[in-house]
Amino acid sequence: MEREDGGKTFVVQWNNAEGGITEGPLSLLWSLIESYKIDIFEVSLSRITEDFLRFLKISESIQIDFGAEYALMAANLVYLKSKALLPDPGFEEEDYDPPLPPELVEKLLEHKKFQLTAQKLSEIDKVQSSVFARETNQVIDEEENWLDLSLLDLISAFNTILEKREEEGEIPALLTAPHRYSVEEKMETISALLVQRSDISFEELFSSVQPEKAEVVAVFLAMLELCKQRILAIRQHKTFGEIRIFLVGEPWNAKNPA
Amino acid sequence: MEREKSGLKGLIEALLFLSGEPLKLASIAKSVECEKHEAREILDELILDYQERDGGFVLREIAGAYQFFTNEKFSEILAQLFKEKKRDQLSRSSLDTLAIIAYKQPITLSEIDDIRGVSSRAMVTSLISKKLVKPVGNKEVPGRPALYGTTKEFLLHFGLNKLSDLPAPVEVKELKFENLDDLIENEQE
Repeated sequence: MEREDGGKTFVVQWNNAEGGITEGPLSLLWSLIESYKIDIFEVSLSRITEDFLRFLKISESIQIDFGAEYALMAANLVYLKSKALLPDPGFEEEDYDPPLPPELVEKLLEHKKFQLTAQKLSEIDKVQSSVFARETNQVIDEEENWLDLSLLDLISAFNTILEKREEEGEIPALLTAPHRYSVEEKMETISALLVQRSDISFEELFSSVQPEKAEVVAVFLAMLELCKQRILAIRQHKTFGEIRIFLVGEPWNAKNPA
Repeated sequence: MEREKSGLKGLIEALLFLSGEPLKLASIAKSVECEKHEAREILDELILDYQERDGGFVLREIAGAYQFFTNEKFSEILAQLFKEKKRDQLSRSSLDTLAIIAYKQPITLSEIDDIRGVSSRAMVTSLISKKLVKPVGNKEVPGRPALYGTTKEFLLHFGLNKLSDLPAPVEVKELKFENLDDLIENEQE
């Protein structure tokens, strides 16, 4: 965006690698300073205030809506400018053009510092997004690698499963054949699974053919019940974060409940 | 003794090769039955070996655990070959906010806003949901605002072992503005 008015020109970058006017008022100020092509300590406060206000006016006329932050910065600039123009008793010079106040310069430099640093992080991010770890299923068998997990972890894992289901799109309950799921039935299935495998992952419990939400809930409740009866233990791997279910007691039997 | 060490080195290498998870020093030492400092020495050697070889993959210590990773220099090509596996990159404004939190942690929301010049609440919320940032406490000032810091996921995301491995923040001195020394000194006080 470019504007010539009364002999002064300013150019603002819409958006570039280091941020442009859409990145907030501080970026807009930087954009202006860069277009002046002078040192930040020589930038005139009144010139930048004028340009900032003029920019807001132009953006209004071409209907871009900037947030309250811009208005706040404009008000701040006008305030700083008026403060700097108050007569200073010990200082007599007719056309004194105050520079940017140090607190604003410091703010601008700090802002710039982090924008440039963010760029550095962005490069790392780009490289690391395609650095892959070796993948195998082998896990060193070590009892103490497994931690007992908190209720909160369990709930969040449960939510993940429900969310995953929603992504796949759920058939409305009315359209599916009515089926009642019983917790007991699920307890039996889980027990049977554990007898075969001795430990299974949390996801595997639910990954059967397209379970309905009601079924997911039943499985979850069954799991909690088995855990309560000390038939299974739910643990999370220390480094891997995977939740697995272990058989620790006698498998559950409907005829002979513990 | 020397022979025993080379055997140990091979064993640890095999362990890392086979393992599908990052391995901590303690668990490596325990698995191969040696002292931690011995294991550390061997792991450092292994890291160097792979670094010098500069092949398809390297051994790295990330967030305190050892694991094999593909060589960074192939990341561009691998990104094209494994589009599915590639994880999303962060947006510019996310990175801005994340950089401020990473280097200034623990930091409050209003301090972040102050540096960015715009409201960062939404950015911080999205970083929290990405598990890169977490609340780490409260600042003991009126209102007790929440303080934010980076997480272990953050280290994994950027492939860092510890926070001090972050690249040095860009010093504004590099911008070649004169008279800056005074300002920077003030900042350090």
